[in-house]
Amino acid sequence: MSLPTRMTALVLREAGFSPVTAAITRELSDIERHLELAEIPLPKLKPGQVLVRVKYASVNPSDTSFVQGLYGQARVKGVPPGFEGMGTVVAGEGLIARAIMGRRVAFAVPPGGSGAWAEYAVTDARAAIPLMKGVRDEDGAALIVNPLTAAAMVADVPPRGAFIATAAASQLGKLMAALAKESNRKMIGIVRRDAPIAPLQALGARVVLNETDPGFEAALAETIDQLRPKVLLDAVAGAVAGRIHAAMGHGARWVVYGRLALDPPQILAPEQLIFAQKRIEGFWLAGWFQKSSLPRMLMTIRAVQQRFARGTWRTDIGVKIPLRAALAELPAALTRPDAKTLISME
Amino acid sequence: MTIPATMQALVQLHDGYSAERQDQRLSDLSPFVRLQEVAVPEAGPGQALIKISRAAANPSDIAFIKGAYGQARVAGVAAGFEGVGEVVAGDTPLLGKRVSFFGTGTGTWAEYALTDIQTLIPLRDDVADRDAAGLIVNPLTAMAMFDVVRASGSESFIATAAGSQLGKFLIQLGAEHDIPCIAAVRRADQAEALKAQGAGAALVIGDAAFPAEAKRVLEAMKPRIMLDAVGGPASATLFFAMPRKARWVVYGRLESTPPALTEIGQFIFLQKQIEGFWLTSWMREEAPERVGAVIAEVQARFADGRWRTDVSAEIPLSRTMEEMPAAYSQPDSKILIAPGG
Repeated sequence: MSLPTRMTALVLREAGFSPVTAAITRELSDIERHLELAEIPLPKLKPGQVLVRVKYASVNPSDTSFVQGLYGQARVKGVPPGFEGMGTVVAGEGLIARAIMGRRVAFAVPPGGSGAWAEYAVTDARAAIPLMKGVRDEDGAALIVNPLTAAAMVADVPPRGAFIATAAASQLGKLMAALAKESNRKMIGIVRRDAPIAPLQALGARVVLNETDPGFEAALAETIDQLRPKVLLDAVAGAVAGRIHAAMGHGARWVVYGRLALDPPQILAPEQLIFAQKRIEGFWLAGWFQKSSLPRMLMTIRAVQQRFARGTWRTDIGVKIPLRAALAELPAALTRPDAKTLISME
Repeated sequence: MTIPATMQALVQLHDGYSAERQDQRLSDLSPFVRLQEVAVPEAGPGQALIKISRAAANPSDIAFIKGAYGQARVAGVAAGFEGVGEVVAGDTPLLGKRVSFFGTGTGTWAEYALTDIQTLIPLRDDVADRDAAGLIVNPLTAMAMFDVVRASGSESFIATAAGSQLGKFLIQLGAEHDIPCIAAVRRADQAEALKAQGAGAALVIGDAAFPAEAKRVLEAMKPRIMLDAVGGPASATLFFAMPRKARWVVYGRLESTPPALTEIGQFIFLQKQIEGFWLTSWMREEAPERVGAVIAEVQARFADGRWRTDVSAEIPLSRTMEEMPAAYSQPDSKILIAPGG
């Protein structure tokens, strides 16, 4: 098959990092300062890499932070961003590349690689994951970052230990509930409505509490007393998370991985940092990538794929935005809180 | 030497912890301790009785009597963590010797105190009582936390409440090791004084220019560690202006307003984190040889004059109830209590 020499892509207009005090927006409101649409040469492959003709690319919080220069990885001017997507393998050399040539794959872009917000992207051949029959293209585009985040965070909880997860009704929360049960860890899910309680328990959460219940604080205290969770996996970073951390026991770690709330949390009991050895930190997927083994990641992704193939899981897609309309339409699409945004190259 | 049957002591009025959240400020001692005639404690196996010549009053003592420290109060027992004095009873070769010590049995705000023999630190003759009374809490905390700075590989660090005795020790350590301390203080005159003592830069919290100046200094000096005695909103402002992988190490709570975490993305994307430091945990977890070496180093620093305790007030035990709150509320106070006075 013959490839074009040039492609359309969203490319970075800036290099390196922004000052840490620069304002970061979830909805990428200053998009034209950071990105432009350009015609650029097809990316060059290094040994072990394959070229993917992208169909859908994910837009994750890690992408919007990276584009704004506030992710722990330097930007390269003129190169497309986009850490994750799905498409068809169209070029590459070596055994693995030949085995997956022409296949539909999910892929993650290695650090410094040419990203997924483009008609073509580069990935390591070993990190291109052939999609099973029955996995929708839309699910394939979001197969890696969220599921691996869930797996990595659950793995960070001591075996047989307990953890608390906020926004537990989210896609990631459901993933964690199932992974917790399989790995013999106890998940305490925090939700805002009663409807997701039974489904989450069916997936594997040990306890699910509705934070809007009048008896929430008492039920939380009792659950903490019983299960002694040491980790709070927090997608919300709001006032409730601060209260949960203060109610947890000695050595409790508050691991923030998302920000859904608009009201900033407070450190209610700074003395607990001192005397109870509590900590507050963030979850950093790229760091986990660096220290985790590839077979372990592939196994995790395989388990996730099976769930999508069987229809147990489904990615809730909010909007598909054509690549050429992304500069105009992305900021508005990203204001929708719970649904996933994809960039479409079709 | 004859040991009397009773002694004067500032005894705690409460058991356990405070139900309400407390800070380390002090306007009145009477809700927490009372001057009282009590029995002189007797040394049991493994214990020593010390006749106290000077006791220290640190922010951690205040947090303790208010029920906001990581150790439960015991009503009827003297308060006060550290002091200097002479060993007058106990099965130890240090009998009759001058020691610094941590009052593990009964507190140091008294004429006599009981402690475990292994916590006794025999003193060099050339270390003055003024320095020996506060040999443990501030100097050891400074040395141990500076270990954290050095281990991090950071090229500079921030210290809040840097005009305190502990802050001054940190500034000197930074200057000696070429890891400059960025001193965060509340008054402009402190800033100048601390720069003269070796601080690499000083930031005046509360200045109109503070946020902009903090941003400029932190971008230039790139501190990855903040040693924070305050635990308040200004500490959060500094933290969120620090570079990637910054660590906010809280070791005190001089302010009661809880800090808000306004830039949550920084935890995730800039790998920042918040943790605490407690000398008690450090002593429990650090290798005993390292603890011993740090104690020897602290004494050497006082003996040869590299370090010096600037005492702001020495209060007789009998006048402590009346005089301590005002003396403690002075900026950068360093108070000693003298039982004999």
